[in-house]
Amino acid sequence: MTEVLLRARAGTDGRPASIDAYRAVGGYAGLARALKDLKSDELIEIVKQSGLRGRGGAGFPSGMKWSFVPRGEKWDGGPKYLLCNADEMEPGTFKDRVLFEQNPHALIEGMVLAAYGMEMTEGFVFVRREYFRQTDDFEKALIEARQAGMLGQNILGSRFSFDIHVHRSGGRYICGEETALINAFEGKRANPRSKPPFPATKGLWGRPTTVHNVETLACVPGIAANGAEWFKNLAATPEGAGTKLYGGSGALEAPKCIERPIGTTLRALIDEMGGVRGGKQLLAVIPGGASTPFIPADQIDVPMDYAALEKIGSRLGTGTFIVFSEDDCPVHGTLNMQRFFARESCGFCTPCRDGLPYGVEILERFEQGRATMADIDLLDQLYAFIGPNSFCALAGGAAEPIKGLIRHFRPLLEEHVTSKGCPFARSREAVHA
Amino acid sequence: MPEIVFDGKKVTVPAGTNLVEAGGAAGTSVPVFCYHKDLGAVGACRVCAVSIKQNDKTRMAMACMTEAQDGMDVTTLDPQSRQMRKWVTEWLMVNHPHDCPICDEGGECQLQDLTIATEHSIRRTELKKRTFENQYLGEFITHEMNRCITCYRCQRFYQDYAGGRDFGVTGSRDRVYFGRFEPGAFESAFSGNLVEMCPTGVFTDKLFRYKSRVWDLEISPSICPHCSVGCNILPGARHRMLQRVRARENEAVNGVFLCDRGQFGHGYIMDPARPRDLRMSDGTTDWDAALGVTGGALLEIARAHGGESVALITSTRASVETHFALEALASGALAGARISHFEDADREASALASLSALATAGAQPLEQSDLAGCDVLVIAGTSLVDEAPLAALAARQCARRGGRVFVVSPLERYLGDVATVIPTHPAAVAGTLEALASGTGDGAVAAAGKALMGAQKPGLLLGGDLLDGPALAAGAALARSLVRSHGSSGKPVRFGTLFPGPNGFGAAAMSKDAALAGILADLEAGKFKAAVVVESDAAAWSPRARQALGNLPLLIVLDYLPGILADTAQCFFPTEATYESNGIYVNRAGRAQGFAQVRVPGRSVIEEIRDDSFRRSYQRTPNEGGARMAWWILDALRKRTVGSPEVRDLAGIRDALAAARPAWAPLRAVLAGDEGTVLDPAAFQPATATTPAFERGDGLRVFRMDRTLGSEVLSRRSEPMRKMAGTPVALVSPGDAARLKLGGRVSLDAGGSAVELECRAEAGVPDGVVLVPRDVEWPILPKQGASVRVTAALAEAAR
Amino acid sequence: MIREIVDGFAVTWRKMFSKPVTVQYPEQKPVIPERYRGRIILTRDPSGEERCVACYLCSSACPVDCITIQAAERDDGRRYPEAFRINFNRCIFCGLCAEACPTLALQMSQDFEMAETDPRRLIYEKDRLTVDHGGKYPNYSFWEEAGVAVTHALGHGHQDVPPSDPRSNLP
Repeated sequence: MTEVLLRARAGTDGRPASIDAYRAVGGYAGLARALKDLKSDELIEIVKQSGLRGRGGAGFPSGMKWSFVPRGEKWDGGPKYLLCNADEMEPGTFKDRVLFEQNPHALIEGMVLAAYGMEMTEGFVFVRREYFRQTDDFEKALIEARQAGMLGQNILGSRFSFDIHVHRSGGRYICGEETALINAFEGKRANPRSKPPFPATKGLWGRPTTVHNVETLACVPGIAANGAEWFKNLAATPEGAGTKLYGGSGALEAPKCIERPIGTTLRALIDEMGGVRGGKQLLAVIPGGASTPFIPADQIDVPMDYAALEKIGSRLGTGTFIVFSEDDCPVHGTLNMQRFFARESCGFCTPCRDGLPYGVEILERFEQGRATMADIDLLDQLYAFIGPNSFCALAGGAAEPIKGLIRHFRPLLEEHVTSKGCPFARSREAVHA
Repeated sequence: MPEIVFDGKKVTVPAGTNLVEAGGAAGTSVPVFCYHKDLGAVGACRVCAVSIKQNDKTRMAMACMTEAQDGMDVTTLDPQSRQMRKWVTEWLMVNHPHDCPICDEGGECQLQDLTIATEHSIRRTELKKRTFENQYLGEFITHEMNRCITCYRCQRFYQDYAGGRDFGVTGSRDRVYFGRFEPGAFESAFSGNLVEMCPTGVFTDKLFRYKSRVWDLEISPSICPHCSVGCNILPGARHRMLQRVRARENEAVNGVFLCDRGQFGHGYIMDPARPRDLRMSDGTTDWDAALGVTGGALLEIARAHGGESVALITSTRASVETHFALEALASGALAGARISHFEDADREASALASLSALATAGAQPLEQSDLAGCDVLVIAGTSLVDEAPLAALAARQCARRGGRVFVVSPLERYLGDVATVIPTHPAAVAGTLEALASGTGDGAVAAAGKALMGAQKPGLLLGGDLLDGPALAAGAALARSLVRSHGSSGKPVRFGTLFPGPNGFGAAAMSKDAALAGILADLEAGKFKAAVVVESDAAAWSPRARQALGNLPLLIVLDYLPGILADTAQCFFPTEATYESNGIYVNRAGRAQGFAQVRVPGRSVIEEIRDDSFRRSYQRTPNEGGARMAWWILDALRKRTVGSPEVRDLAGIRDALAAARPAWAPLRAVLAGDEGTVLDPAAFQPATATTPAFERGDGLRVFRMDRTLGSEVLSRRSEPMRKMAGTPVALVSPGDAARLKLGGRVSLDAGGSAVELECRAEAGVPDGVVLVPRDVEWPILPKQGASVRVTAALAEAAR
Repeated sequence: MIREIVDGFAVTWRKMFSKPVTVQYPEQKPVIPERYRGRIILTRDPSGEERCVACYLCSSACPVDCITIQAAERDDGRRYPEAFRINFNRCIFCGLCAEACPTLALQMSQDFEMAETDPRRLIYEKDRLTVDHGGKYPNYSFWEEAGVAVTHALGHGHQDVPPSDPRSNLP
């Protein structure tokens, strides 16, 4: 079993892997190699060839993202910023935290490498409010790295200088949206910005900026050290690249976060987490955080990779799946998620601000037994217009589980109508509680 | 120039045009809430969704966020876009209260329009509506946050466009709140625009509250009479009551904006203290008889003592027609009568000098739209937001568009965050302007000079109150030198000044010389036997001149404001205010603009409601509705004195003016409601006038100046305006305040003429200057720059 | 031709033996249907307050311009007609005003006996228009539904939730 991101782990004291522990397993070798042997263009080329895609949910090819930042001739010489998005608030998602609390130096090394590739001048980590202890530990790791010459002026004796600062989020889901994060960082309302201009040309304080997920950045050291081929070969499927932190939650016997080659099947992952809790039947899985559509039980042999999931009408998202057993009502689960999205809307655009509560109300009707058959189509149509027509991806993400719900569980919705309420005893109790 | 098809119509638009504007060009009005042409697109409301077919692919996009590209086939009529608009309406109505019947926005509410257009009438959700506490926002604006549809227009106007800092947005999700941090009056001088900015009824006009439905209003195009910018407005009246004023779009002047003074300063029209009836000392009440008696008396005096025994005075708030009718009166037996077109001798001299400077500089006029379009703009000798608020708003847009703005003034309280302010003693403005022209000076002055010389589109705007003769001369010289240096390369140099009153330019252009000082001196000396004073205020006259009025054998006053003149007159003729009459004002940049009657004068039907009932008797004419237009009265007097033929109509008097003074001929083409005609100042061969230099000796010097609210002669009669303006405050430099221990109530003594008022230290005011609002009433008005002694007031000292 | 005449007289003949439909008004009162469009009234809401909010929709809907209103505001924030006049000389009893009324204040009554000898008496002011009941809709109160805090505390109307705190950043 190849563990790359988590090759160094927290000790028995619960403290994250120290810089020595990290270096003992080959940490900072990639940085040393890159600073010595690679030009920034070459590093970008390697990352491009490695097939690394963003691990934050959208899955955008990272090398491509790096190449958008003006470099060399096109760079005016002013500051350019690397932002690490550690504002992990997607429901069901806890992979960045695991990385953060096990192996922070992988992130630090990844950030320095990314900065080297894109010729960035300053790095910031935007951390979720609730990760208090992890952030404290991360700041200690930064000090370690600085003392070891991995950060700050003239890293490893090269001419490259770069430092990382930590920013604790005000604590809203929308801050995880790339441009809203930048606004929040600037001290403004966390409303998303319109694109174009893209952050690569006009981001933080109007300067070229790249925003990356924690896990994406942590993948970079391995690529720098071992090359693109090595990274590609880590995957379980030929089209994939690298490993992935898969998290499982919900009705699992042993929910946890594990690192596996990307493209491992969902069934294998569920089995590794002890199968469905209490030996119950599996009903459905949401594969990658709340903004991805349901996968019904009969499709769980799908490899957990970008393309494969898109083929069956879902998305990899963050790769942290939520398992529904035969006891769990997907309608109720969706309602719960929709309440979250409606609550976390920044209130900027109409479909998200007023459309999501509208959807919540319709789902409540199903759960409380006041819905009619027409409400299923109303729900479908509502989200068909919310999803593509809202300003940022928040409401679009909120529309995904509804899409899956209606595609795979229409009979269940109809049952909610005919039986005047939720047919699942547990959900019914929750509704009336 | 991309060519697109919009709703089946081919249209070519300039590159960079968004699809909302492109739709407008093709005749489709794309519904919008958050988009506004002056505030730009943010894509918040999502109602402007259109379907775009391009390269055989169809997608839905927001029209405001999408630039027109060649080959686009855009439609608002396909089922997808229709359905999207329906949904947006339904979403917005989730939280919008059901209070249209009592909402003043009803009838001009974009949300109401869209709700009806999309046929949304049944509520399909059982969601309850969120509510908010409202805030007190001053005497002008009512806040009703429940109605908010979160388009962010108010915040974008108030903060981004107008530079206000005391209003913003809080909260998130479906509980976004637009308000101040604490309830309280808006600090911005442009808060009134929120009423028009808001697409629904969150911000409504408090003065118009529950008065009328907008469709019932009688509306005519008019011109704002509260400063020399000449903003275009649409006053609305109903039941013979003037109820509100709104901006009328004119890109060359005010765009779609107004300042609070213009929007809420109309209280003087319906003021109960306004003299509305003909008042003759002999008790005549019939207009025809009164005109006959007055004309006869005037003629008698002129025959007995000669025309020069008659003084004719009007002011900058009178229309061009009135100014000319007054001149026309001075013929026949009245030939040789002494005429002044101003009510304030200092302002007369400075206005004449300004016009002469404009005429000789050889530069292009600096209109409002040019202010925003300059790349380097120098403003000198004025606190612009106080003297001409909308010019200050335009200057802010200049800075927002990347232009560099320099302010050479003793006080700048609006542009400080976007402009380079060079705090300058009024007496030193001339020196600074000379330094700009010669490229000397240091620091900010040098930077301003350098910027001006390198500018592609330089602009120079000179003030009125805080600018002395040498400074005006230096400014004109600077404009001339810019014309010389820029003219050869074809770069336009724009030069403008401010004038007193809405028709200061017109009054100056009509004047043959600066006559008022002489007239008032002779009035004091008792040399006049008769005076005709038209729409003027005697506040700027010396007490002796005011006293001499009472001793005049014949005082004829035409006005719509109460005051000492109206009280003293033997023959008082009520005149129609701007919104009640037809005429022309010439704004500060020489733009002649017509205004048309909105309401007939007289008591309103609403004022006469008693015991839940309208007046139960029938009558043909309104009570106290005798006022006439001033030029008509003057022309009727002319008929009875000079003996010329019938009283002329509006076109007749304009024809006569064009015949007598060919420079005024363009006026014949001016129509109320059009964009106006720019007059060339050089065509008037303006009289030369000398305005003295401000002294800068030791000690404190007093300067009278406007303030945005409360100092202007018409608007300060309005009750809410007085409340919002507060009591006048004298401003001194922090250094002087510390040195002389000033603060709280002080007494100002300028050569025996003393007043008592609040005093405050203001950062940026240079040492040696006391700035006093114009509305402070002095026993004897001190000259600008007069030496003044400031002491803590006795009451304060005793405490 | 002959046939038509015979048919016509046949009707006459038949009707001679049926009950007459003429009502001997005024001795005999006619039965007026509930939806009859008679004299216009201004009704009151369940709490006895006047319902009219002076929204001017009736006067706007009126095809003959016989309604004149002036709105005003009471101290408690209630919008009401300071004066309300209907000129029944002009009124054509079309009912468009009642249809337009959003608060169900203005209704058409069944009364039609309003003849006067002086036309000035046909100009009704608020005092003669207002009745002391709710007309056809005794239970409706506009203010309870409108989302405006006049008859209840802010946020306690039928359709409202209590006011949100705009300062709070909590979800």
